[in-house]
Amino acid sequence: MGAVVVLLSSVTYAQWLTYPTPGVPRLPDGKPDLSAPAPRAADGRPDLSGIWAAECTIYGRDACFTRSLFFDLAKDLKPEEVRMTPWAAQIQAQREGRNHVDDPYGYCLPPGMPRINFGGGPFRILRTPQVTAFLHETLVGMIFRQVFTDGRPLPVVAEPTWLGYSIGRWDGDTLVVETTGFRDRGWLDTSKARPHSDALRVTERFRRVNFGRMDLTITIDDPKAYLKPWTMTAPLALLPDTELIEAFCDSHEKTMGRRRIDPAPPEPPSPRLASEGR
Amino acid sequence: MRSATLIVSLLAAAVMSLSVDLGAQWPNYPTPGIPRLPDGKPNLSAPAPRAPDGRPDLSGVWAECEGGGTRCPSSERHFFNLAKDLKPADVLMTPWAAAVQAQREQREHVDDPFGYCLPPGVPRINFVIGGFKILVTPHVTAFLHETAAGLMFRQVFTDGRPHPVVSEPTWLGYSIGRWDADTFIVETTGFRDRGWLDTEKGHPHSDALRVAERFRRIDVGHMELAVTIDDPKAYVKPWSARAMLSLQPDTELLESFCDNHDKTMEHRRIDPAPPEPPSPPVSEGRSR
Repeated sequence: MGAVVVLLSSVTYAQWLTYPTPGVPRLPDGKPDLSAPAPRAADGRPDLSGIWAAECTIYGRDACFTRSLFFDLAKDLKPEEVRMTPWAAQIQAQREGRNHVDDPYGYCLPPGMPRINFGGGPFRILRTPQVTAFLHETLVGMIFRQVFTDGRPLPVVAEPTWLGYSIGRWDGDTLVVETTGFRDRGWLDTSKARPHSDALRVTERFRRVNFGRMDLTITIDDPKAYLKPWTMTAPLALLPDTELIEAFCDSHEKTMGRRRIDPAPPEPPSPRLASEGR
Repeated sequence: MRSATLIVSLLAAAVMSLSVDLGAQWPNYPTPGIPRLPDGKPNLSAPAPRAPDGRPDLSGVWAECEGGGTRCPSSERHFFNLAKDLKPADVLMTPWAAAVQAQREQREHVDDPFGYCLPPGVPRINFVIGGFKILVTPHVTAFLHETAAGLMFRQVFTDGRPHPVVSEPTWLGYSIGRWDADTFIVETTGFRDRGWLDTEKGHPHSDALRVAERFRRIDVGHMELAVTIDDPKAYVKPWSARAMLSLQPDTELLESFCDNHDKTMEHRRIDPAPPEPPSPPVSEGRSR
């Protein structure tokens, strides 16, 4: 399935723009001082701005991409920590039985949450008083997420989406982003093809350790798909003196026709929770 | 002869088919920071707000008409015809561009990249149904676009960097911004061939395209956007269009992606596209 996703990306990555990022502390030789303290914004909160990437993205120089969180979000957990419900286990088996050809990301749809943080390219965090924006370079487009920090509650979402609806708040020096409003059919990761349901609630905790490093801790809470919530942590690295590069699905029409094995039997919709009523 | 109206409605139908679930649900949390009338409604004619640095603050969700762009007849939308207010003599094409445009029309617009979930291009992305949000930060002004082909962003660098030499041209180009008094000027280069400046006319551009967008916020509710198209390979001289954008208060961008892409695409292609000829060297067009 690595080949499937990488197929989409043949035109990118050759050209990295190298204008020096403003505001980065420098060593005497001009290189970024990545172990300098984390910067703070005018309001005293840590400033998370910058371009970030998880370890082992496809930009990695070695072959560790295949061992990345993009492929297996629970790679550092024991199997019993990510036990699935029967509905989710059946979906996962179908996805694997069909050799992953139904991955929406392979059809130029968004990689979903939280896979978008590990889904190929890096992302930029931009901070304004009311909204923190995540600008993602993905294999299927330049996709953004908005995290509202103006105190609004999570809404009741009538039309669930691939990326959900996100609000953020500070817990000490940690930005806590909570996202709900997802649709069925999402994939949490690529090799394992772990499903989620429309009951998914993702909590992302961003803590900038120093200038060059941020820890991202993610909790997956989906009572329709997993017997209990589970949590993993990913170190993110700042990418200085570079830029996001445009990537869209130009080869989509060609690759898609070849990829479908046969019409996908639709995945059964997620069951209702007792709390959702009838 | 097909009637222009029919073509426009076919086009609209084609583009709309990508966006069926749009507009149904607009989260309507009140936008913070908007001046209000006594009845609580946004005061759209209040003076334009200013950022701490004294510059006009362009932040907000904008679209060419109310309702995220849905409440204007197509004849009034630059999405369909960027040159709608100009005389034909103002937008004279080079022979290369005229041939590309003729091919697009002759093939009934089925080759429009936006119909294949690719970006609508610049400046068309400003005029699609859905609207866009401007976010201002110290080194980058971000444009977050809701389009029928997906949520997509543009970055406009305001840290003083020059335009790079772009070795791999893109659909949305590379943008830098600067202020000229109260007007925010965005200049974009680095485009690829095959872009469409608008939808009904299918005005082409080349990789020599340089777009200047001038944003001037007139009051809380209104922003003028003047666009200059300078493309010596495609047009005999530069030309400009002027649009009025409306603030979309108390609403939000909605997610839309090309979920029904595989279905719509098969139906739409008439036959394999003869590739459009690549744009000629600049020496064959006029000089800039």
